[in-house]
Amino acid sequence: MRLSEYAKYDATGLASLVRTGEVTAVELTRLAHQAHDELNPHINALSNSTKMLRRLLARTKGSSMVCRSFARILEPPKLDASRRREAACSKAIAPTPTAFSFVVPEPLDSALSGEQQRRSSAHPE
Amino acid sequence: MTETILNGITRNPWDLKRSTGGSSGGAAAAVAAGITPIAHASDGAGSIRNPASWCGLVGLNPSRGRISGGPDRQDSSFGLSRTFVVCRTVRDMAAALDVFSGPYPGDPFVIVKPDRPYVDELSQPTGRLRIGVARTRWGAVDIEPEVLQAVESTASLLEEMGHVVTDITSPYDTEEFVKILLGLYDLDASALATAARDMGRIVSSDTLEPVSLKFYEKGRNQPLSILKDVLETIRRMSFSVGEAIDPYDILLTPTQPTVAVPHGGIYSLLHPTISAEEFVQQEPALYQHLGVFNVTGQPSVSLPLAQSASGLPIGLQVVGRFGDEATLVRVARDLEEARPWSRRRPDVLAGKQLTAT
Repeated sequence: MRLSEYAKYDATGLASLVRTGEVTAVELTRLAHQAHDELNPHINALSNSTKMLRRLLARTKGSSMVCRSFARILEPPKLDASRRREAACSKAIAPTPTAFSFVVPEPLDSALSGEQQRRSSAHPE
Repeated sequence: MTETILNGITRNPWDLKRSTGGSSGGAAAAVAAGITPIAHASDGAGSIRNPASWCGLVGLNPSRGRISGGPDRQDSSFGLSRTFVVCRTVRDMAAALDVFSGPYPGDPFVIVKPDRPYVDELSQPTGRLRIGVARTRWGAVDIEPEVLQAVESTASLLEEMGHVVTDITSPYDTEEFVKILLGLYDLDASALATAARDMGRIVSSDTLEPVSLKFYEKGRNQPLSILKDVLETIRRMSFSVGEAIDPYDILLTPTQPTVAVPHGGIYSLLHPTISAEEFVQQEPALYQHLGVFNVTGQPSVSLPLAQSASGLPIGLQVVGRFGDEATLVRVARDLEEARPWSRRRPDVLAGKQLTAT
């Protein structure tokens, strides 16, 4: 996918492309980095270092995606399933990792696990 | 404005000489420029809707309690501040609501659950609504003619759609809102020295913007008793505004009275000479249609429905009843279909050859 094409899609559209296998989450992440590298010197939109994300991304294989914190990655809106996922999962974790999987650096592993448990208890079904 | 000593000035992709607004200006600039299609944002007095308006984005500030701040920020600014996203389409807004909404153990605010997923609202009829329209200023800054024209045009469109449109005047006293803001700034200032110490820094002109430093010096020695006054003012304002706008299902207002302003002006914390008192009189004037709904806890969304003659985005705000994001999703969808904005993009855009800037 070219950068100009990537920029035309909204998040729902990109998620659909991931779901149908036309693009991978890793490819989208690399496009986002490319866009950042080209444009951020002009607009100064992002200030946090992405070194850790890049390092972790380099270690991933296949269609995995790395999340360095509680940043939330959107699943495509299949809402019947979404409600069930919400009941079962943390807001920080995409629940059906067919396209995404998160490699969370320590010490966030334990924090995410704890949040998942707390989140589940907040959604009694 | 997104202009700080620590990180410098964030520039608007639509015009690099102008502000993105703030405080979620970095998120808005990144989404407008196509770096990412959606980004985290938060809103304590307009900080999602203001940058959304000036950067041509969809920016919803959800109802208090719709999206938990748990586990770390469950009662941010006594419920005035909420967290969500800025994005470019109404369907992304609806999907994000579905993903992020929900409670967390210990939440202080309880809110009614939606009848169905928000993305399902995208295919539901809107019905006939009673709409209050703000065609007048609610603060010290006049509404620019192009912004007012956008309000008029959108009000006419909503009327053509079958809704009942009625003009409304300001439902609140600006001085009450200034009192709340000043009180919150004072409370923040009183905690700043400790926060700085924890980070191994000192409060000085090297670590704070000129206006931020003035707020610190003004507020650092205020007594904690101001908190009681702030909370009572919030309660009183919530009640009076709730009573004033109760007849309406939604409101239509300008998001901002102006298009994006140039960097470094009287709204910037970097301004070298403006006093804290002057700043706090100016800022609410810019957010005159926004902060009031942080106080009441209602959901409100800025939609990029118009553009100035010079090509700058103009956002219009739609405000819903407390807990009724569903109606906002349906109305926003109607407006997006009637006046689509997806083809309007800035010159500074991913994949586009940049000209001299």
